[in-house]
Amino acid sequence: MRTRNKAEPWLFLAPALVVYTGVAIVPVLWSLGYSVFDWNGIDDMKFVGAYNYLRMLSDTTFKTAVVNNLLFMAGGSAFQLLSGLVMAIILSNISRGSNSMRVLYFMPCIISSMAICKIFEKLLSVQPEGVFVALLRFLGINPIAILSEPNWVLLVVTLIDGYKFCGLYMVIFYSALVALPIDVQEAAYIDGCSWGQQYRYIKLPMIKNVFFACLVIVLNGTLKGFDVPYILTSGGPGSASELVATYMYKTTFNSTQFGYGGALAVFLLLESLVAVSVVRWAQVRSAKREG
Amino acid sequence: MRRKQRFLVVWTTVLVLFSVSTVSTFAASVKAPLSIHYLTARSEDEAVIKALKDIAAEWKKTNPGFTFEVESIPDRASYLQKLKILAASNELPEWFESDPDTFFASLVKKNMVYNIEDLYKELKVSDRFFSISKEYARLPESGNLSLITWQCNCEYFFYNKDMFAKAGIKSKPRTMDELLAACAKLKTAGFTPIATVSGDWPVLRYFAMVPFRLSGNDYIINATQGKVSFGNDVGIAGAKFMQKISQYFQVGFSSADYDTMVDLFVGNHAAMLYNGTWVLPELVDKNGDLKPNIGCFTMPTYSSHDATPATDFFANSGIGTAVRRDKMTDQMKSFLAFVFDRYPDICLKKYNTLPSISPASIDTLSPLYKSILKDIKGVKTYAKCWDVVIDSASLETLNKATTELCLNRITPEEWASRMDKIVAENHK
Repeated sequence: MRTRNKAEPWLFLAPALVVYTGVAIVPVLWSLGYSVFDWNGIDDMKFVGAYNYLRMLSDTTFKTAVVNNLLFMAGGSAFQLLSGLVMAIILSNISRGSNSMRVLYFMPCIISSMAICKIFEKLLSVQPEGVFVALLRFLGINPIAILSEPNWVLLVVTLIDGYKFCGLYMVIFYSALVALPIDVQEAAYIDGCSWGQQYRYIKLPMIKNVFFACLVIVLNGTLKGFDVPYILTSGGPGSASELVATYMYKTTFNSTQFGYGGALAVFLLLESLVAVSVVRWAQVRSAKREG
Repeated sequence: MRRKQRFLVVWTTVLVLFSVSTVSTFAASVKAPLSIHYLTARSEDEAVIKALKDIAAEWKKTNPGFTFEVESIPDRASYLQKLKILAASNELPEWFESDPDTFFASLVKKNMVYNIEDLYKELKVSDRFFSISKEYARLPESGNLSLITWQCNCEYFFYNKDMFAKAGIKSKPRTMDELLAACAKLKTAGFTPIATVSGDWPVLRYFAMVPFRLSGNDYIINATQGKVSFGNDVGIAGAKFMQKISQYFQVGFSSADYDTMVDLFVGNHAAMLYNGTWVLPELVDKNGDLKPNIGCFTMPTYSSHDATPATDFFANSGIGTAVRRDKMTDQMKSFLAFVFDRYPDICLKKYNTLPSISPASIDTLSPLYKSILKDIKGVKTYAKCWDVVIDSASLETLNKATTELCLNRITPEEWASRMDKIVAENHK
């Protein structure tokens, strides 16, 4: 369809572009601007060039945060996608009670992060004794304050964060599974495909694009993970559950180092872009192989 | 001609607009009643806030149009974040709270707050304030006083007498060694010796005790300015003491919060709680004395060659209130004079809290409060709070490294090395 006026498409896009520019592009450029200065919010800004970026190389807390973040991303993505997919498969195979189950599975998504974190904090607390600890004692296991254990805290934070968001992927996968054409499934059934084979060779490959889209969302979400680790442990004990986003937030707003915080924000942006690029590359390669 | 007419129209419009705005601004400044937005880190049901609200309500009777709006953010970390953002965007409220830390020092340097010492002299109230209430609020480097303080606090080890008796502890610990021995006995008897929380000031107080005893405030002031290493003899002694005493903290102390810490002690789940007199409303009976099963003792001494005597310990006046320099009008001064006049009696008689200003009479005080006042007056050197002395950029590292030290994940030398590195980095 040809438009009479070439500017028309841009006029339709303009409101969304303006909002996107204001909400996404401008803050990124602003952070980039701050990242080349040393500023505490009160005194005059001092230009330092690439000093803040070089500082990252010798910052042990930052290096710990990056490693923690990669582990959080890997573990969190696997947990959220797998559990979302399993819940979606269960829901698509039951008829009775599926509505109630859907609500139950999705509920953690709509409960505020603060509420979820406080619930788990009390559940896992040793003093005063929480439900989880009481259960361990009942089973004869010596309870540990798992949120104070540096070797376990990152795993616990990852699982709680995953618990909060897996409902979202359940909804996406469920929608994709129920939208699959029924004739393909019936043909497979007639040809002798078992239930497992249907999923392995027909249904899951058919929702591959949805899977890639979810992968992009979950990778981005876990790379920028903030609320659960910040509320639950504030990155502690020590730096055991520190992520790049929590470290960036504390550097900027607690330590009032707006310049270095800006540099950390730019790093986070670049990290997310790299992750999404890798997923896109994998998706294109997969499509080429099929084509 | 047309050009000339356009020129005249434009300049006439500009002049008219300018005049209107000047007149309206002037009119607004003359007519506007006093309005105070008070950003506070205290909870709204704290005695200080209740007392100030009562005084504001009284003032309003004779000054209609006066507004006193309190915005309370009791979580200190969230409060400080909001304060710093407001300061960076030049939107500080008329009154806000701060400790005399490095962040507040930068506000003073930028002339953003009114000099309270000048205010006290102007209103002739300087002598009515307790010494601690003025000295604690002074900036350590410049000695500038730009914070109004409302309380007179000191810090004690509150202990559960029943647990002490059952553990066979016959007397209050007077030295650090006796304190550690008491903790060991309590642990053997099956009690949690100490309730505390890390990542915040409570754990830092334990750390500060030995260095204060060995060197007064010299260690922390010099180390946070990079003049001495955190890892000198005094620092290492403090770090080693920290590793010893942290084994007596409650399980999970590094992920607990302040309320859990207090509740553990009040609920008889922990034998000792180190806290300030602001916690007394939870520990006293209706007569204003400590409940029968609760006792208290001051910070123990460390060795026979301590630099500070047993009568010196942590005493402070709580977080102070600053007034924006450009908001200190004559109306504001009149209101503050009224506040200073009414505050001590309301705070003490109605809300059982020791005010920063000497009340008309202390005869009606309970024996506990009289004893607290006596302890405060006996302090010659006030111990500086580490979380206030150190710059905010280094405080995060101090909290993290101290928690790791307490969990035995790093050695005292590694702790000191991290602190030296971050202080050097932030003082470049």
